[in-house]
Amino acid sequence: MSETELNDGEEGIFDGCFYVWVDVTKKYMSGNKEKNFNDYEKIKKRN
Amino acid sequence: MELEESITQFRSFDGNQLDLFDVKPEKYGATVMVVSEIWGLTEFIKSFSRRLAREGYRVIAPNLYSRPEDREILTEEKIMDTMRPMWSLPPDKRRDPESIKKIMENLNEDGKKIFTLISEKRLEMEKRMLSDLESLYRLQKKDNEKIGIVGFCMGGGLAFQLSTELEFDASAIFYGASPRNIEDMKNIRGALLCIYAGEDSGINATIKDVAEMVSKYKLNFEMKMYPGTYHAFFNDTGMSYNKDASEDAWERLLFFYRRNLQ
Repeated sequence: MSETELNDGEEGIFDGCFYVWVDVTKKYMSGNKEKNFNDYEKIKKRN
Repeated sequence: MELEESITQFRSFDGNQLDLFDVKPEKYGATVMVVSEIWGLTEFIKSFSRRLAREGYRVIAPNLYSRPEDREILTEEKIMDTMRPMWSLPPDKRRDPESIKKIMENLNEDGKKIFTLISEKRLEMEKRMLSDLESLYRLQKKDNEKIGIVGFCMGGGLAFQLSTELEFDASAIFYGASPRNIEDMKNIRGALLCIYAGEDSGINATIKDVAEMVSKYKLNFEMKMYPGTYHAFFNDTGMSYNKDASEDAWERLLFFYRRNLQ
């Protein structure tokens, strides 16, 4: 198993993914576009 | 095609029993491990696994969040709730102690636990998940049977990293981070398929490094970029789902596995 440590400020797989999703959810859900996660498809079918 | 489906458990490196979603047809040729997005073992992962099993594979998807202390904390909803306060934080403040302190003050207890995993324990989490996947691999790998892996987002990064450490016959990475030590790619023995979303700048920043390693070590490599799509475009339950790109990626995945797992 890789023994490489993370340097300060360096992103790993787990936190890197978290922050990618912060950007995705901000894009689709912030402001008046607020929707619950995975409700997108239900809303699309209802409209 | 009739499928047999179950949720069993497997013993991981630290003695914990983790849940394993296992779906297979009556006859199958190879096994494929599915590594989930940060949301864990969701309906998307289960439906994708069933879909792949119908093509003649045994498909196993571990729940990397099924330790007793994680089950009630690392849920899709709670992870999402922890993300919301981060919207106000610009990327250059993500590691700033003062900014993090302010965010933490406004989180509930579960949010604080999740955020601690994201920040100070992030490498520990990564190593733990890789070790869980390695344990599963060693339990499932049979000498006379091919094994593949596919990962989405966080799962893509984990699958990519794992492919530099263990021998898979075919590894498919959907918008996943490249290995941090990019030279580790020299250890990849099987075939590699990388799928990228055009508007996924963070993930795509290291494609050039991947290409350099592919050329340097003459890897068996395929890549497809889908212009105009966003991160997680393949998840048909999610916000950035793109039907056309997903259908194309699905066909490429099947072709890739047919050539390398059969």
